[in-house]
Amino acid sequence: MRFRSFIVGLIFSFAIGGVAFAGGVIKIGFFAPLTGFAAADGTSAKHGAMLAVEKINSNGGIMGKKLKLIVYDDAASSQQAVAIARKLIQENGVTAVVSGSYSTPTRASAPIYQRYKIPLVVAYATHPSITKAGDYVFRIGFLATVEGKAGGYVATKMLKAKRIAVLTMDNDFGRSLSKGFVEEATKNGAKIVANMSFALGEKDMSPFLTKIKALNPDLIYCTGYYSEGALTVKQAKDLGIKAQILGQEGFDSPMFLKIAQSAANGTIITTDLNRDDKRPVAKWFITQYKKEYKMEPDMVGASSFDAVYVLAEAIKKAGSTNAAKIRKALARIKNFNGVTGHIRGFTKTGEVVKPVQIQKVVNDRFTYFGVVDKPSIITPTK
Amino acid sequence: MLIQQIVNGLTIGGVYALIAMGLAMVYGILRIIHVAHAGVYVVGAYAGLYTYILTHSFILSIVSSMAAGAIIGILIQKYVYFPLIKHSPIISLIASIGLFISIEESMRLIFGPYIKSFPKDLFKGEYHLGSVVIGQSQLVVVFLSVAAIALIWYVTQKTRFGLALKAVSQDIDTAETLSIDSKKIISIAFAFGSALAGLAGLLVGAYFNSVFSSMGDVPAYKALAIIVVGGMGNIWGAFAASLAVGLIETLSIGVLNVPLPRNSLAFIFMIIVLLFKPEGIAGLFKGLGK
Repeated sequence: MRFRSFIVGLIFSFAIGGVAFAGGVIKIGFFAPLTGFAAADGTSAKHGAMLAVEKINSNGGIMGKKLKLIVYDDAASSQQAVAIARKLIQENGVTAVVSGSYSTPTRASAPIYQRYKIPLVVAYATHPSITKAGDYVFRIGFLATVEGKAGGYVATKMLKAKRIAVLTMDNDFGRSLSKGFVEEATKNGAKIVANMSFALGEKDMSPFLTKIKALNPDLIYCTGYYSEGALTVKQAKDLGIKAQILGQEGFDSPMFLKIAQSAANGTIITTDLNRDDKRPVAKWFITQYKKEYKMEPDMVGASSFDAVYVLAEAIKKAGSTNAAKIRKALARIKNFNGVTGHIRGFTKTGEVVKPVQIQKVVNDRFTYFGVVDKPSIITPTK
Repeated sequence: MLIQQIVNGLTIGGVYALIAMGLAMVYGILRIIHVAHAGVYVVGAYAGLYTYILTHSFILSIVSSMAAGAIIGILIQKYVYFPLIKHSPIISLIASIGLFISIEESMRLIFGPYIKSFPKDLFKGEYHLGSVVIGQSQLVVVFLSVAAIALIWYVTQKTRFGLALKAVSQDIDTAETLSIDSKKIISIAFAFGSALAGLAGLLVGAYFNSVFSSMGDVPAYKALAIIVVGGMGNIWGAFAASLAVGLIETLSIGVLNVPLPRNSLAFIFMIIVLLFKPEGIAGLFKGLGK
């Protein structure tokens, strides 16, 4: 027994020694779905985060230390995300964590980071309950209900839709978006003629669309990811549907354009990244991303870049790797110039306040269509 | 609208039929629950896609997807199932599941995690028949499914191979005594069934313009549900069950407004059929049977 505790003690002293030797780096944990159905988004997220680390390190790092990203694959599964949280905290001893993952895994692991008081910056997961885990959780992407609300505003005020059909993807993401959308659209006097839900991964949208066609709406709002979204616009075209299709950040991927092909043209989405942004940081990101990864950047990559960037800024401001100080600095971030826009700051509940970008697909690429910066729309309420 | 929904349902049912009939054929002779059949489907999709990218010929893509399917099928049968055939069927089932995961993950490692799509607008345009609209891609899927199913019918009903296949699936030992080379028949059946899975992969990939490594996940278990409904080894039972599942899914969603995901509807249908007809709907196809 004595002997065993001696061995354990020995291992412990090595472990602690290890931390002391690693003094030259600041470890940031990162999890994203690098395999499974969401692998494309996970890979984009990883690219964006890596680009931010590269930029920060090439500018001398933070407090003379290099930033090191410790990357894990959660395969978009809550179980894996929970195991990763424990690993990042207990084995890797990270200073802070960035989620480059979806709502479901992020939602499952956020309470663990909160319990161990590790600051968590969520790149693009949208579910309302994520930030409810506590004051150590911040979100750089939109709250789904805010983005849904912005979608409702775009549909009714900018596109003047009167009869709207809603296609809700049946998961955390899709449901919260549709909820925000329907509230705002009905408030502005539009009629929701149908609200149908489909499963994540659905490929054949034709039963839904055939039904929608008979209802003859002037706008269809769809809350799928890029695959469901692309097949929605493609099959709608095949069925001869002329209604405007309005999507959201789930559509925001080069994959959307590839799968939907010419049917993508005319689709309008609410998102975080404006491809025609003239600000230097956004321009730099767009060019550098294309150069390094040989593909078009998307909102997932841009949001992950911003999540790491804002976190680095907070560590710099805190002047320390002390978790409580970083948390405080994050809460005080104001007017930060991110790739995804001018970030005004975080609310008390850790939600970002920044404009919602509206993009339209023209000639097979996302282009600027408008922006929603009305405070009553973009400021999260509770 | 109802007719349009029926067209939608039959299209997806036709695709299910291609996957499920090959699977039923394999089950009929080896009595193995061949989950890796869906892996063959994924390989066929990639083979067809890359052939199309290289040659821009859809005919060559069809040939290569079927060839790739057949080759993978023969390899699986020779090197995995045959050595395990003397053991309990559970062992080949486990091997099959492992094989399926390995195939999908190898595809991901080779071709990357992103969904691959066909170069610009493989199928374009639509046809109007009164109030019914049929997209060109839908038409191609239906036409090729019908052609493949006609081929299956011809091969199993009208050829000596079909007769030998029937004999082997009924009783290998007796077939052997009648000097049927059962090993050869099994290999050919495997190659044929797998070629159909490869073709199905290509068709689904082209129809939804998406080829990706995990595209076999849903067919892996849905095809099983279909062949269970169809009476396990019965090819024509599987055919009828496929169309029924395609129609039921589409009509429940699009006409009856059942707020359940498509895939759960397939299983609810399976459970209902098994409650009333535990042997599957195969009995209805006795004349055409095994």
